[in-house]
Amino acid sequence: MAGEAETKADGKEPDGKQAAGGGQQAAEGPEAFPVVDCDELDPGFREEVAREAGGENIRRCFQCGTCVAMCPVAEHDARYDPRRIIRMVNLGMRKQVLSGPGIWLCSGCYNCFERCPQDVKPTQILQAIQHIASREGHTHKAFKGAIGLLCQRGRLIEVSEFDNRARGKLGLPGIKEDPEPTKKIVVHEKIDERAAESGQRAAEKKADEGGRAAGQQGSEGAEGKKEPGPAPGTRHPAPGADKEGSK
Amino acid sequence: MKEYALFIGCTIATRGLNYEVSSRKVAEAFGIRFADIPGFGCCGYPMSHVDHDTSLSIAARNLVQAQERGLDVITLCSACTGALTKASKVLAGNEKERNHINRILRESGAPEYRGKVKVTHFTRVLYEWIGPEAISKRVTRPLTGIRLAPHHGCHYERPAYLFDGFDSAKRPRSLETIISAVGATPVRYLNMERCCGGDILAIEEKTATKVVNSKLRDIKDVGADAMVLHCPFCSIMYDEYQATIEEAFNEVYKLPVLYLPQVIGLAMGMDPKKDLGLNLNNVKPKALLARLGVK
Ligand code: SF4
Ligand code: SF4
Repeated sequence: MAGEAETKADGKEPDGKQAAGGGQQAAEGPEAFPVVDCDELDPGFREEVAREAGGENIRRCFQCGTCVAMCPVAEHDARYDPRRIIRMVNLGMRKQVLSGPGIWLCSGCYNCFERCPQDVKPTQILQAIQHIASREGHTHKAFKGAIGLLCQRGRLIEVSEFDNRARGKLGLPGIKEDPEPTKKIVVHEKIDERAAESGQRAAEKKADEGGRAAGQQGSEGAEGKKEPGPAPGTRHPAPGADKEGSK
Repeated sequence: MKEYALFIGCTIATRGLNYEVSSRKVAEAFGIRFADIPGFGCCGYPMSHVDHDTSLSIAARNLVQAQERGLDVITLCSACTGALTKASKVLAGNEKERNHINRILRESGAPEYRGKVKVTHFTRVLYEWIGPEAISKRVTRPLTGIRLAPHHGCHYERPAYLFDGFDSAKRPRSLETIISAVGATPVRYLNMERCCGGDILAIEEKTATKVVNSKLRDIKDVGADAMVLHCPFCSIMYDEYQATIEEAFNEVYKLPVLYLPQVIGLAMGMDPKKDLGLNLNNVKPKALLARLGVK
């Protein structure tokens, strides 16, 4: 039954592309929807997400689909489906969720958040999952780039001399880049190391598979298991259950 | 006169000069003083997809800069508003979390955050503190007959718990109220609350452009002279990307995209170029300006 819920959950066709969270069999025809393999399930995964800041309410989801109906991304990209991702977490499909591309497609608009009848807070659930994925070396390459820029400039966009001249012409004050304070936080939290690690892992994987997985971010198979990552929930316990989520 | 620390963020500083200059001019006209704080950097929003503590700490580090000057923060970018408000609210109400973040700040050489700085989007200040009546009184060039489609976007009023519900999170109306106050006609369209997709532009460009296209089409369906918004990300998506999207989807929109302060400034008789930077908008609002008799 669980498998059925997963494969037929929303009746959408994945246009031959990967399903949300479906790291396996990337872009390989109709099997693109994630298959539930009981031997692969990690029943502790939902507790792990629930311990993460923002993930507290994951168990409340009753799969109504309101979040999907509200989602501007799901409307245009069949690979993305917040309900399916939440279901996969609750089933324990840890590996597929963390290494798949689906979790990075949330645009963070909070439309689902405001309308979920169970107060699951899907927007923050997605972020909580992204945080776990990043800790395990799956930081999306776009954010790896952002981390690099923050360390280099303390900002996401360079302010060049040319920019400052344009600002001056409009009577706007010049801006001097000062990366140090931001960089120190990034280094302290080691997110730059993790991002580098994930780049390395992707390269290794590529070599492993003889280039077959070119362009695929995130790892599969035995490699994911060797993961020396921190024990679930030890590094980032949600400090105080009454934090941001509660109203 | 009320003074705020102006948080410009990364995007406006280089790609939203029209927004910045018009905001400064309009603020000045209403007696709001903006203090420029050299220590401000990235707001921490991009890291909200990577790590909870990092994102909060980067945001808190910025709040500390304002705290040292004894000022509250005013924001122009909605993503900055979201990240900084989250830090401000979470750290004000939760001592345990504040101590945790302060430990990170201390170990990275930043001063302690005491949890008192408030963060407000400029539009909210105009809407709540200045108010539509006061804005209306300053109108010298009413935008009568101009149809404007508001786009509130996200992180300005959503999630509601961060913004005290000052405007509805499901059906916000503050932009419409201000549009009416300057004599223009607010236009309603399908799926008004949907976002610009800017957050996934770097993740999945194709999907992001589809999200943008669907809103441009919804607005085209009802007909509007321009779109009005208040976030540089939204502007990049609808204004900078518009030509690309027209080509990709074989559509013609030619929909000018204006920042709210540009609209208010126009109605107050300000100079479209020098004061409002309208020449920097990608889709030129020429027809609209001609109708107002502005050159
Ligand atoms: S709206 Fe809430 S309860 Fe319904 S499927 Fe989405 S997360 Fe689950
Ligand atoms: S917050 Fe994410 S999942 Fe929710 S509606 Fe927006 S894009 Fe979709």
